[in-house]
Parts: sequence; structure tokens; C-alpha cells
Amino acid sequence: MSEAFAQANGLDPGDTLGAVINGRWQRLRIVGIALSPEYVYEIRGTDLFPDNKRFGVLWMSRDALGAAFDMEGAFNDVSLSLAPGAPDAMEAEVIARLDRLLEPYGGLSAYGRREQISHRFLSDEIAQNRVFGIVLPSIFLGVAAFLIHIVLSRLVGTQREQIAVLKAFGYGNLAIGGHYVRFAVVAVLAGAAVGTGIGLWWGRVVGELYAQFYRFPVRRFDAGPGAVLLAVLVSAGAAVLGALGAARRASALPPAEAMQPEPPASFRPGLIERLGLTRFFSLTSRIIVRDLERRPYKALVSTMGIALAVVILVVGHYFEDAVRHIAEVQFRNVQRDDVTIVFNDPRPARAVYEVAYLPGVLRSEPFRTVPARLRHEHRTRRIALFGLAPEGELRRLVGQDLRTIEVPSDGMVLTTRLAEILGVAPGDRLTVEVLEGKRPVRAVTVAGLVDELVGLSAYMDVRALNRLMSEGGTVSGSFLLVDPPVAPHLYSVLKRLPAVGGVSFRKAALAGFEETLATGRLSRIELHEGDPVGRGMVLARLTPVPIDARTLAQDRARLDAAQAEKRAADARVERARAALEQAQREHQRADELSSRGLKSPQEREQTELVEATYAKELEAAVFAAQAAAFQVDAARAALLAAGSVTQGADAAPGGPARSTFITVQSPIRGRVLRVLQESERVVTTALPSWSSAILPCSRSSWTSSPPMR
Amino acid sequence: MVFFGEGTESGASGTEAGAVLRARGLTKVYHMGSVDVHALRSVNLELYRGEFVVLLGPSGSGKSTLLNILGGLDVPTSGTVYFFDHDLTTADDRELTRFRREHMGFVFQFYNLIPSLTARENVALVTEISDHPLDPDDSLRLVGLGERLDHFPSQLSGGEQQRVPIARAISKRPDVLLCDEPASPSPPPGGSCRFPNGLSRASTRSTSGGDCTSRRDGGMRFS
Ligand SMILES: Nc1ncnc2c1ncn2[C@@H]1O[C@H](COP(=O)(O)OP(=O)(O)O)[C@@H](O)[C@H]1O
Ligand SMILES: [Mg+2]
Repeated sequence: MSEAFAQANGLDPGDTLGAVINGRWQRLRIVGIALSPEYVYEIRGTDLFPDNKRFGVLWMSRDALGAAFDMEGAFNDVSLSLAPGAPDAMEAEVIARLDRLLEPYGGLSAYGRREQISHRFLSDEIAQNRVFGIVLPSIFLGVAAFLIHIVLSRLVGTQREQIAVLKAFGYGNLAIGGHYVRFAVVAVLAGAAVGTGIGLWWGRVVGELYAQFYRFPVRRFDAGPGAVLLAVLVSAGAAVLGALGAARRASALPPAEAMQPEPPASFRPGLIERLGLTRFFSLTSRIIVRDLERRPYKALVSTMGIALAVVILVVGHYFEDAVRHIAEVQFRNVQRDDVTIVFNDPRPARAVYEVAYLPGVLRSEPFRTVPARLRHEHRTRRIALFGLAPEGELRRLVGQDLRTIEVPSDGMVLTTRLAEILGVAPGDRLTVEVLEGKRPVRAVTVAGLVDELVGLSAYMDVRALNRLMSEGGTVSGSFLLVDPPVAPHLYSVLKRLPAVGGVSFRKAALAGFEETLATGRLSRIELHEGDPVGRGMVLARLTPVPIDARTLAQDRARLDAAQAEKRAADARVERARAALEQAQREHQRADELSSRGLKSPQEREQTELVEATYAKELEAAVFAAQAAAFQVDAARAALLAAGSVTQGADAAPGGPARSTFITVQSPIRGRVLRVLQESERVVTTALPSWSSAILPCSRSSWTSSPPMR
Repeated sequence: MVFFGEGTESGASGTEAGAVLRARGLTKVYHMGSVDVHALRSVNLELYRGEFVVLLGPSGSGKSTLLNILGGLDVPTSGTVYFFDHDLTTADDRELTRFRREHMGFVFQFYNLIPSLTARENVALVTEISDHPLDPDDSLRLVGLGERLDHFPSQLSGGEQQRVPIARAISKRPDVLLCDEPASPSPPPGGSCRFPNGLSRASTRSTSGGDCTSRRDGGMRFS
């Protein structure tokens, strides 16, 4: 199992977990934690940020996995390494040949390492760091050189008489100039000593951070003497450069002139005098304007220095804002679903309605994705072609002005960037080579462009895509809108559905339910690993997050609605049951009559069919009733969290008195194996981070138990 | 016309072969924008070994300018200055620096002490680059600062500060000692000359001395 996933879920070798393999729920035992170069940055292809809790990689022996799929000896993924030193052109050639070789077997077309997601993220990051590593120090060194220049120039100005004396007594120009350069060198040496110390420490911290985030196998930060020397030399160079001007001034100072106090600086009538604007300026303003005019170069450099400082600020904020803006547009305007599910294989369109009946699902919109190669003239690009539901709400195409663009019933919508790459404009026709199923090749018109901020995508109406694929209503997955309190339950249901190959929960959806379900702030856990605990012993205390009246009203309304829904569902079960019993009786009677020859076999079969239909209906009704019952439970649990918590005095010695808290008690005698969440934080029900960690051999029973309050 | 006060303490006679410093037709013009300021106009002057010369003139009459040119700190606009047989007016910067280091001692109108060095270190700054210097301690003792060797300028009284430059100048045992109003930065009312003990004693050591001081009643003038 991949390390990030194991850590995020608190799994260790020896633990078991369930997984749907080839449509069957199977238990797997973890035998080891591993890292893979393919998943240094462990992220699902469609995500913006890694979600280690819900996305991980499991490696099994090919024999075992092949057996599970009844496909011994088969493979569906292959990595190749090119001969060392192979030219770039070779890669394209290998890819082309590999594609031709694997096409008959359903190959989805190969790609080079540059397009490999983890590699791309990582190399982008490294490239970015390299840029920052050059740009930021350059700015800082520039400012430092400028400061040294200013400081030393001032110093030379104030020490001109001393300089004159030294010169009068026979100190040479070089000695005087060198004296001021040495000032800068001393500053550099002191700065270098401190900077090297901080740099080594910070480098180690950042290196550690990177190693943790990217799961590098080696956590070592190396800064050889060469790097330090280079840094010191570069800094010294900048400092000397800054000092040079002042040193030159000092050495060029004629001793006789230096003996006298500095003559008043020479001023000439400047711009405002020539423009006749003098009277509009107060005397003090005139001082400023003339000072600036007298030393335009100095003013310019000062302005530049300040400009650069502002640049750093603005760029820093820009990046922050840009990421926030992208995330906002992406999640508020484009991807509006809480949950995306992807089926193992394309399913008939009605699968969407089955999904809609799952607990907590408020809305379900199907989509179809097809791997395809788009071709226009000599340019090609491999992408996932998206078929969206017309008038869909959960996944929308958004123009630059954030206005929604309807998916045209015919033709294809491309992101602007993709259109640029392919060199197409609306109205052009491009060739779509589907890399799935019968691999049709079709010409499709570019109907429009969208300016999405992330990724390269091509969209079609799902029906148009079905037509292109020469298939009936077929979907690859569904976007879901989910009732937040039920989200955790839905997640556990979805995980066990054999047809579902992938589930991606939006962080926001999870944050949403964290907010609504949060029972409170977990106080610091004082227990340590290995501590024995007795039955009934208090393990943790939760201080409830205050729930406001509005939330309370919402919870109440939700409970009412859920109860009404449950009553309706129960009634439907009753009706279905009655209908089924009636059908069973009809069937029985038909059996008897036909055995006595009083009814034709066709009539008997008819009653059998009716009975089967009602049996199915009852099954669906029972399922719906169960879901409704769960909704009621969830709504009630939310209400309970607000009202009836255990009352008690805060036991924390000396701490501020809090009115109420919830205690979590140990249900059995045992020993603390692991404390996953030691420090204070807001926790929610069903988050295993604190509940499952404390007790031995009870992980599964705790996590799957209904919300506990 | 130049008027020179004759040094009374000089033991040597003016007839000795060759002047130590000889100036001919010295002129110094400062261009101040559109106006030219003639600080010196055709000055002729000879200074001999052992001579003690006092130069008197009102403020702004060109005393400091003349001393600077004689000391190799500045070059004249026209005219020549000879140190023995070395022409200072054709010397370049580097040669002038060497000339000052090897032969000249200065006491300036302003003390010009290095505030971050003690009295002894201020003197040592000069003796360090001289060939046959006095011990800094000795020269400071000569000017009566034997008890103030390790004091920084800020810890010295005004009068004491005044004497450190004198110690500094004599400690290198220069061939010529030039003092620009060494008595006080501004002449006292009445304009009488007041030489610090150290200076009068030090200048007895077969050194030519040029000294200038201003008198309010204008005891001399340039023409
Ligand atoms: N660096 C300079 N630039 C322009 N004028 C100067 C400069 N130094 C001196 N002068 C002018 O030369 C004249 C003589 O000055 P100075 O030799 O300092 O006089 P003194 O030392 O006798 O008081 C003065 O009028 C002064 O304004
Ligand atoms: Mg003067």
C-alpha cells in the first residue's frame, strides 16, 4: 500500500481492508508500505490537490490480481524505459510504434514521461523552485547592494575630513577605497555566518517538508561546502558591487577639498520652475522636488528598490489569490458536484436512477467519458472526451465572464487552450479517434470554446457522444449532489458498490459535513501509546461547538422532512407488499388451475411475471424505506448533538470553566495502540482519527457504528 | 607682495644652500560658476631648513590654500613648487601621496581626529606608515597627554583634543611641519598668537616650520 494512503488512514502492515475487485467485495491484508516513482505525488488524474485519505495505490502480485479477474497473465498497464541517452525524437517513435502494437488489444495510447502526472507535478515544482531560488535572492541581493551603497556613501560623506587627514599623511587612494570595501566585506562575513546557519536549518526543514509531502524515500538535506561557498561569494560580489561606488568616491576625494566642510549641493532651476508652477508648491514640497531632480539616478534606483519590494508582495499575493480564484471558479462554477462516481465500465443510462436512490443523494447527473485522440491537420492531442447531460447543473461549461455556456446538442466544445494547441476555431472540423470499444473515427465540428482555468478538456452533449460511439444511452459515471449529514454514510455505501470503480468526494462537501456534524472540539488527549485503559474509562473529552438557532431550525426541518419521507416510503412498502401477496395468490391459483387444465400455460406465465415484477418493486421500496430511515437517524443525530449532550463540569485543572462536554469512554479493557489526534481540533463523528485509534482490535466496529454522540 | 613673519627660534641661517620649499608665481583660481575666485595670485616664497615662519592674514586671504599647495595636498592653477629639486606641480597623485608620507606633517585648522580610535591609536595611524617615527606615547607626552593615551576623542577636553593632532604631526618627524591655525579653530579676539608648548618645542628639531594664523586687523595682505 502506498505510504501516504496508509498514513492518512492509519493503516499498518497486518491490517486488513475491504476492496471491490472485479465487482466482488474482498478483504485484503496489508503486507507492506511502499513508494513508487509513478506516484511520488499521489494524486488522481482529475484532482487539483492530493486526497490521501481517499486515493491511494495498492500493489498486488499480478498472479493474484489476474486470478481475481479471471485473466491470468494479462496486463493493462505497461511502463517502458528507453535506452540511456536516447534522443527525444526516439520517444515519439517508440510511442507511435507501441500504440500501433497495442491498438488491437485496446491500448489507450502511450504517453511520455513528461505527461505523467506525478512527474509533471514534481518537475513543475522543481522548476518553480529553481526560478524562485534565482529570482528572490537576486532581488534581495540587489536591495542589499543598494543599501550598502547608500550606507557607505553616507559614511564617506560624514568621514570626508578624516579621509582627508589620512590622505594628507600619506595614505594612498587604494588603501582608503579598500577600507570602505572592507566595511562591506565585514557585513558579508557576518551575514554569511548567520545566513549559512539559518539557511542550513531552513533547508533541512523545507527538505523534510518536501520529503513528507512528496513521500521521497530519502529525507536528507545536503548543502556541500561548494554551495555555501558559492552563496557567500555571490553575496560578497553583490556587496562589493554596492560598496564600489562609495569606495571610488572616497579614493577620488581631493584631500585639500575634503579638508573643508562639504560645500552646499548645487541646485539649478528645475522642471517646476521651467513650467512656471513654482507658486503651486509649498516651500517644503519644493525641497522634495528639487532634491529628487538633483539626483535623478538615485531617485530612480530608490524607486526601483521599493518597486521590487512591492513586486514581491504583489506576486506573493497574486499567487495566493490566483490559486484561490481558480479553486473558487472550479468548484463554484464548473465542478459543482459533491461527489463524482465512476463506474467500472460504461453502464446503461438507467444506472443513474439507481444511483439517485442511494442515501443522501439529492441529485444525480450522468456523464460519459471516452478516451480519444483529437486530430487537426498535423496536430494531435490525447484527451478524455466528456459527454455532459444537457441542462446539467452539477458540471457546467463556463465562459471567461463566468457565464454558463450550454452544451450544444451537436458538435464539440473545447477549452481555449486545447483549441490553441490543435489550431482550431469554432466552425472547424476535427477528427476524433476514439480509443475505446470499436474505436470509431469521426469528424466533429467545433461548436464553441470555453475558458476553463484548469486542464485541457473537450465536451459534448452526452447524447451526441453516445451517437458518435454508436451506442445506446450509456454513461461512465455520475455527478452527485449530496445531503451533507449523510455524506459519510453515502461514502461507505459507495465504497461497497461493486459497479462503482472510483469515488471522489469534494473536500468542500466533506468540510461541509464536518461543519454540520462537528460535535465539538477535541481536547488534548493525555493518553500515550501503550497506556492501559479500563472499561468505562474516559478517553477523550469533546467540547461541543455551539450550534446556532438557524442550524437548529434547519436540523429540525430536515428531521421533519425525513420523517415524512420515511412515512411515505413505509406506505409504499406496505402497498408493494400487499400487491405482491395478491400476485402470489393469483400465481398460486393459476398454478392450480393450469395443473387442472383450466388455464392456459400462457396465462399462468403471465401471473408469474406479475409476481416477479411486484417482488422487484417491493425490494426497491424496502431499499428506499431503509434510506429514508437512515435519513431520519442522521437528522435526529444532528438534532441530538445540539440538545442533549452530557452535562458536566470541566475537569481541566485551572482551565477556563466550560459549561458542557461530551466524554468518550472506552467500551473495553485494553491498551492504547496509537493516538492519532493528540492535540486539540474540531472532530466530527465517524472520523476515525480519534475514535479508532485508541482501542485495540476495534477499528472496524467503531468506524462503522452509527454516529455516536 | 607677500609678507612673512620671520621665525625667531630658527637656529639655521637663510643662507644655507637651497631652500626646502620654493614657490614661484603660485596662482590658484577657483571657478565658482561664472565668477573666478583668485585665492592666490603670483605668490613667491622660500622656506629654509630650521626656519620657523608665521603667515598672517585675514580670513579668506588664501592662507589655507597656500599651505595645501606647499604640502602637496593641492595643485596650483599656475606657478611651480619645488621640494628641494623635486617639482611638485608636475607630480602625479601617487607621487604626491608618497611625498606627503615621507616628508610632510600637518596640523589642520580642525582637529580631524578619528573618533573610533584612542589618542594613541590616532597617532599610531600616522607613525605606522612613517620611516623613522617617534614613539606615539612619547609624542603624546611631549604635548602633555601622557595621562590620556587610551582616551577616545570624545573623552578628551577641547584643549586636549587640540593637542592630539600636534602629537600626530610631530610623531612622524616630518621634514616640514605645516600648521594651519593650530592655536584655535577661530582666532581669539585681539588676534595674538598662542602656540601650544608642544609645538614650540617640537619645531626646534631642525625642521622647517610654516605656520599661519589670522589677525583681525589684517597684518598682511596679498596684492
Ligand atoms: N574649494 C574651494 N572652492 C572655491 N573657492 C575656494 C575653495 N577653497 C577656498 N576658496 C576660496 O579661496 C579664498 C581663500 O580661502 P582660504 O585659503 O581658505 O582662506 P584662509 O585660509 O586664509 O581663510 C576664499 O575666498 C575662499 O572662498
Ligand atoms: Mg584657512
